[in-house]
Amino acid sequence: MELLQVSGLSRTYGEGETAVRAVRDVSFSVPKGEFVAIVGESGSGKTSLLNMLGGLDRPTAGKVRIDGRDVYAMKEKERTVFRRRNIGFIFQSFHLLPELTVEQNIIFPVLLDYQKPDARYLEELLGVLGLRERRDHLPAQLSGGQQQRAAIGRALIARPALILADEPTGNLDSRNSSEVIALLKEASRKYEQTIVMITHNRTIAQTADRVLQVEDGVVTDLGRWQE
Amino acid sequence: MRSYLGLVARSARARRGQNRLTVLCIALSVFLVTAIFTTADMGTRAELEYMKEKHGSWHLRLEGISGEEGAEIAARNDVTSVGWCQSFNLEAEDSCLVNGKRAALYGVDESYLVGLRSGLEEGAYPETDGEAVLSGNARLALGVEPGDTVLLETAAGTRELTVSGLGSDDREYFQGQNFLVGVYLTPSAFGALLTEIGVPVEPSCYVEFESPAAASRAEEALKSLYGLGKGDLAENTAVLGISGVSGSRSLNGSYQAAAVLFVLVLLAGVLMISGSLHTNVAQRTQYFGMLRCIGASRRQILRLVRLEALGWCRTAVPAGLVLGTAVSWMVCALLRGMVGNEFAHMPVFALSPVGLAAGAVVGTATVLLAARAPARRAAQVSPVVAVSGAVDEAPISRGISRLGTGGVERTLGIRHATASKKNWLLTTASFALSMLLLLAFSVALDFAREVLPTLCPWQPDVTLNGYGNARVLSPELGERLRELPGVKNVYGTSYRTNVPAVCSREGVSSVHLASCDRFLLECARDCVLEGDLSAVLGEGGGAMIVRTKDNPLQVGDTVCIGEREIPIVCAISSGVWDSRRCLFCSEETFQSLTGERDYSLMGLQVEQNVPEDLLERIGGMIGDDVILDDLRAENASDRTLFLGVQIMVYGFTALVALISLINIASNVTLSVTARRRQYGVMRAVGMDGSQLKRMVAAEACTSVISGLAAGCALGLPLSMFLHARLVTRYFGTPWRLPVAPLVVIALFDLLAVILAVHVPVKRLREMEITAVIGDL
Repeated sequence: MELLQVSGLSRTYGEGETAVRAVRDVSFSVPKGEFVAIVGESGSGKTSLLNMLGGLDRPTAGKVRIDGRDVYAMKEKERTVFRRRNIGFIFQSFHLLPELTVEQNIIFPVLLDYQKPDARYLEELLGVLGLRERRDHLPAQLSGGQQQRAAIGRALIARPALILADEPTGNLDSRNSSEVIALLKEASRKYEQTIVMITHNRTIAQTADRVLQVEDGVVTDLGRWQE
Repeated sequence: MRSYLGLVARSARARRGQNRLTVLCIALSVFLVTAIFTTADMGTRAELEYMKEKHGSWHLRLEGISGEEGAEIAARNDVTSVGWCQSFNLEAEDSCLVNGKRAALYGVDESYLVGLRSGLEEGAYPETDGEAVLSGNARLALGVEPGDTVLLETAAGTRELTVSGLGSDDREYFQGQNFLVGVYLTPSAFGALLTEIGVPVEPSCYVEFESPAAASRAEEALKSLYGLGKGDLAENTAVLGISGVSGSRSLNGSYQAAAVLFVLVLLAGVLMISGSLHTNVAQRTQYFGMLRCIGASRRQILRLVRLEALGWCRTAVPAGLVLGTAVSWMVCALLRGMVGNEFAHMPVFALSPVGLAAGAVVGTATVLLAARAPARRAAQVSPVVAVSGAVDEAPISRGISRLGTGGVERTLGIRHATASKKNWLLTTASFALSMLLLLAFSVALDFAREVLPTLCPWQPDVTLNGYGNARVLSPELGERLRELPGVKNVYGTSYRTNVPAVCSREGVSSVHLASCDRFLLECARDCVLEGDLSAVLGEGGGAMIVRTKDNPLQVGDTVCIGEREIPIVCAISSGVWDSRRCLFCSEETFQSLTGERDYSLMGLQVEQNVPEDLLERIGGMIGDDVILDDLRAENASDRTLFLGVQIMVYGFTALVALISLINIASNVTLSVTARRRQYGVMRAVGMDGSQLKRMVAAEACTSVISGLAAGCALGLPLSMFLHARLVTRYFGTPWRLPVAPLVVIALFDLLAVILAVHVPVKRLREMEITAVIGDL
């Protein structure tokens, strides 16, 4: 079953002579539970594409369907709630809230939904992420790898169907990078989540189920990474 | 760019929009201080001129000084003028008559009447002893003009005097009344007359110095030089008081109150600037850290921040000074043109060195001082912190203890407001200060209301007063007066002084007794301070007192007059008669105590446009033993004065409130701007627009509520202190919770929150999430 369906997606910034076509007529789909890596040069349109997949940026043309629902047919508020419940984001710079502890950062999206976090699931996540001992620490008291793990926890807490990650290992060393990717893959497998990840790291791309290459806003499906 | 300091100018250009709020805050603070101080300076100048006009320009009055000693004083370097004056029969007790009317006699030299008192209204000072100046009311009372002759009858016989001019040394006293006329003779004519009557000639010597300060300095020297006793030297309290050099004890309380207000206004300016600078630099910590990274030393960072602060001053201080001066000119013009009277001397287009200096010093000094602390903090930022890119705000050292499911956005909003203790403190203090000013100014208004008794509901426009408060005005006369066209209301009151009494309070052996008719009792209802008025009404038999610091009588005391015991059941804030030892009772009680029903005083309240002959018609209805006084001009003057005070007080309070509001709004905006990226992340992980709004609202509310709490905690005691100093001390009115200012503050709070939330949230919502967080 296809979780993510993208059809005729385009995004143009600016107008007239200064117009930049960041994403050009992109169509693809991703089945449930698949781990997709997006690769490409800087400025090729990867981030623009990911923003639109997550409902953060409005496309100039085309549609994005997640679990059968047209993301951009929704109103702003409805889209926000949909994003909160169905999409988990992981940023390169972690973007944890500095005044919240690790645990509070992780449960934050659930609290935004005025729900009570599932304590058992939280414990499980903290265990999987290796952050049990650090649950009461502030982000400033953590290493980069720990911060990114906390950010992964935040992305997973609402059990979203889709996880979008923009170079989650960009600020990490190789050991931490491997750990984070292993965690993401384990989560994807365990909770049947679909992952779409931008990466520059060839080794990471090799571990993905499928690789999409972006070049000048055009997406090419490379299938499994081949050297 | 020749030096690294050139970065400041470039940075200012690049951050023009960001710096605009900071510059605005500094300019507004300078504006506030300049406007208030300039207007206060102009007001003081106007008041000084008015007081000189009303009470004369002399500074000290000396008794028991001989002519030679007077000449010696006049020769002093610090003395500009000396004049002489002695009066006789001011109370109209002796039979001095001018053209048959009661006369008060004065012996004055030209220097006193024309120079020190500016009292000549028409004509000239007498050239010979056969001439005299008559008070201005002589035209109405005697029908004379300068050049006419009048007959002066005294115990020494009758003499003819030529009226050389009209005028007096107390225009207000003679204006409008036709009971007593002032006759101003030359000192030689007056001396000869007194000698003939057998009254000693002892003129007072009035001295004007080059400045009030010089007068104050000379006081002790004159006392010792001429052996002057305690009562031999008196100050012109009004003139010296306005200049701030009076030794009068009663003025000291007012000076203290003015000093408190002065400091508050200065503090408000200082806090506003500090708050805005602190927020701005906190936001720029990363930028300074980056500079450290590329090799800037701590000292260089400090220099950069200071120079940047001075750059803000370059625009903000002159703008604040110009704006403050312009607004104070507008206020002065308004007061001079629309209110007049005391404000008629208001200089409109004058520059105030005090106002300009206060504004410039407050602006520049505060910016430099306020920039120092954040500059140090900026200099201490570790380059590593800058490289990490995680220095949007002050380092977080403490997390949130609990996040409930009820409203995480509210918890975060509160946290954002309180995260930087210093910032929170500055915002709270700035807001609390504006509350303090509002509460303090409201006391100033209470003071003005008390100082101007003509604002009482029973204030008469015309009074009829039996000579020596004799009870000679019948209730029937009241009925006839009420029927005159243009008369709105007539009331009457009887007064008996020094009635022997036995009082439950020690030391009171006699009381004054005053009756109040139905109208006066109705008016008393609005000024009850303690007790129950109902027991005073009709045949209730109770009495009320006016509460002042000098009145020994209190509610609960009983006074026995003859056989009758009268309980004091009520205290009011003001009354018609002298309040010391005075019992106010109903007409029925007064009658049963004294057996008298005629009044000592009748008050008439008239329409705005009354027939021209009204006073003549009233005069025709009363005997020669009744003093007719027209108080309309005085009332109008007091009402306009109060209007002027209201314009000033409310104007500046509104100004302070507005500036505080802008300050809060700008602080929240700056704080939101500083957390823009964080808010973007929150939106990305699912925070919707209304949650965002609630979060910012919680932040603004926290500042406002903490400001409100601090403002109440400090403002109410301050209001009590000022009230005790300015109002209770002199007028006895106790402090009451200032409900109206508090309601205004509450509404203002609401407005501050709405304004503080609306703009930044709108901006955040309009911005794409991807643009906010940048590197998603």
